[in-house]
Amino acid sequence: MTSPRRTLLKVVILGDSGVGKTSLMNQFVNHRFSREYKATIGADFLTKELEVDGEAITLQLWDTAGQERFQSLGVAFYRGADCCIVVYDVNNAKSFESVENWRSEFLEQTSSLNNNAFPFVILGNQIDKDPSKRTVPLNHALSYCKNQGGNLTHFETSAKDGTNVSIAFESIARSALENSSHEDYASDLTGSISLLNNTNESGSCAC
Amino acid sequence: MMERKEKPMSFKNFGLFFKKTATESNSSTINRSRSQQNQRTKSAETFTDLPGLRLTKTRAETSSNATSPISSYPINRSSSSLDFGTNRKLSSKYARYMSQTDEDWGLPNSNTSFTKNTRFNGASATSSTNNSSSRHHRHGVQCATDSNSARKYIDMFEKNALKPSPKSANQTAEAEVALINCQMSRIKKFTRVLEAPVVDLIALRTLSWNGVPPELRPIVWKMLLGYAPSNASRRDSTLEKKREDYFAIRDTLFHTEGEYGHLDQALWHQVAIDVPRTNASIPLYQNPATQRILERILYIWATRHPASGYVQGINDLVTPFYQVFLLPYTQPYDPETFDVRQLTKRQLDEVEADCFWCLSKLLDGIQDNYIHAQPGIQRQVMKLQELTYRIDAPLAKHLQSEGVDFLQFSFRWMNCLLMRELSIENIIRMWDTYMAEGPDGFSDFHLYVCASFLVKWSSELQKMEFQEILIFLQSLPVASWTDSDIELLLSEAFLWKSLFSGATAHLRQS
Repeated sequence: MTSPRRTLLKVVILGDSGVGKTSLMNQFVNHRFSREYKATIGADFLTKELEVDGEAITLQLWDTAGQERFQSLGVAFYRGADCCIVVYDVNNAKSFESVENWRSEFLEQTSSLNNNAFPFVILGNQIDKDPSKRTVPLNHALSYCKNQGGNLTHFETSAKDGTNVSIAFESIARSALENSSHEDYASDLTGSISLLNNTNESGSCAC
Repeated sequence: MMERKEKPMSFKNFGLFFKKTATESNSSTINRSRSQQNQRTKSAETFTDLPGLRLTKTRAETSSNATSPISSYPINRSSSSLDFGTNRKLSSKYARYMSQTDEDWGLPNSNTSFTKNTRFNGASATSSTNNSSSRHHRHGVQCATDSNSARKYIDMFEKNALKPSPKSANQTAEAEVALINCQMSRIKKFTRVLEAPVVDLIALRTLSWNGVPPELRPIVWKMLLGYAPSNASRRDSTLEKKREDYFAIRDTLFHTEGEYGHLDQALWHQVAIDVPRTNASIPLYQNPATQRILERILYIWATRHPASGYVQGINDLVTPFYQVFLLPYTQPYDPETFDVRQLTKRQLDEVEADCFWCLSKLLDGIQDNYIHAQPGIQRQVMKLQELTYRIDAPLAKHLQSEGVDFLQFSFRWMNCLLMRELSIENIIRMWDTYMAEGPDGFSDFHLYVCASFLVKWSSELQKMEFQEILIFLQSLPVASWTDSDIELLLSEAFLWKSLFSGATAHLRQS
């Protein structure tokens, strides 16, 4: 193939209301922070083109609404995702407790065949705030990710000053890429039609 | 299969046919009435390029058999914005057209009517309107009325019309005089309806469908929503009682400022993080007084409606009420930069209570949108998809082939009633019509508005791929939209509704 084809990767971002999902997305995509974002309704769509390990990819990002009431929408936005980001606010213990709910809700709605392999990236946001306000210690979050046993990566970020945002999203892109190539591999395997062709060919040979 | 394919097309043609004939008959009527009036305006003009006009007439044509009160006032259109600066050519045609229709309806020449080359005497114009404003107050209609508006129009006129314009100053002045006259006569029509001992709600709806003059919006909205009684003798006392009811609820929950520990913390947290995010770029909404008001309204509404509770987006829906009810106090200043702390406590309290009750009335009609699983919105989105297939099959098929799910872009259209798509000024004008439509305005009629809104971008969308489509639909080029764009949208929605409402054939998808 002469012209390099862009790989499309779909990423969904979840988490409680007000933890900074929209801010993280905009820091990553536009390198901007604003206090003027409205609460997301349903989900917003963003794209970002980048290169990971020499491969040109386009991330299709779905920035979802945090309020529980919108969870019934899930499937419309979760379907076909290659990676899922779950965000919590390090200054809000409740938002951290919700991480597992978001994860299981996502897996349930997408009914992924191999739940343990599906990549999740957990982001503890708003680390720019006064450290005395922090209610979720880093080791707490790390031990959660370890104990879950699935494919979980963790970062602490600040959408406000940009700390760790690009590193985190690079990791997200890589996870999504890996997951999508696994899927491609899997679909190649399920292409049992080739076997059928072979049988036909061998059949003709026998004649 | 063939038949299915051709059906939407034939409907399109049908629409065009009507547009054409409507335009023809329209201009001929105008020409006839012109000659009857001794050629009041010299040049005979066609109005084919006037947005809204063709469709409005079409609307009248298609619904001539319907019982809708609107159909009897098909051409009573008025732009409630007084933006003379934009599109002069259009406004002059508009104004001349309007002045014709007023005459056609046999409206008496009012003493406040301005004629060409009249040097304004602000005092006399104001005094003549003062009469009507005092009459107004006798009936307890609490709003800024004609005197204010007359003053505003005079100011506008002096600022704009008397400014020498290089190209045909006379013509422009004439047009603007006509526009002012039309605005005045429109206000008079409303005032006449509102002054009655028992307001004729059908007449009020009919008038309001085409837009409510800003000065009269507070009382008109309250009446259309059924909050203010149509019976003048009971109006003040009822409003007083409702406000007191609200204050009583408020005082039990918010007795001490800044003390929120006793509230439902999950609900309060959601409200408290959403209020600062409501129109965060507009100073009015960054004002602490505004934020406390919105917090209380949303919290109290949610506690009284446990089946839905507070759902994000409802915060947006309070803001048109807030801005409209503040208007009598903010004029002539821009409400968006107005410091509400200039109002007395009593005045702010009344605005708060009125916003609460009107929001409640609005949400009563769309409760299904906010209860668990949001079935109202799911249904609307599905209907929008079906309607799009019916109205613009190529667009619907294109969206489908690109893998665009209607839920992905139109969920927000339903959840926030297009408030995230259009400016608050556009929304306020739109709500005039929604309220005039009656209890289904915010649900059923809104669906048709969304359909018109979507097919408006058909040609652009059909050239785009999945990503572009979604990004385009998230930031539609509507920043410059004025009242006339909204009025065209509403007219189109009316057309689709009269064609498809109750018709179930479009539910059969191919």
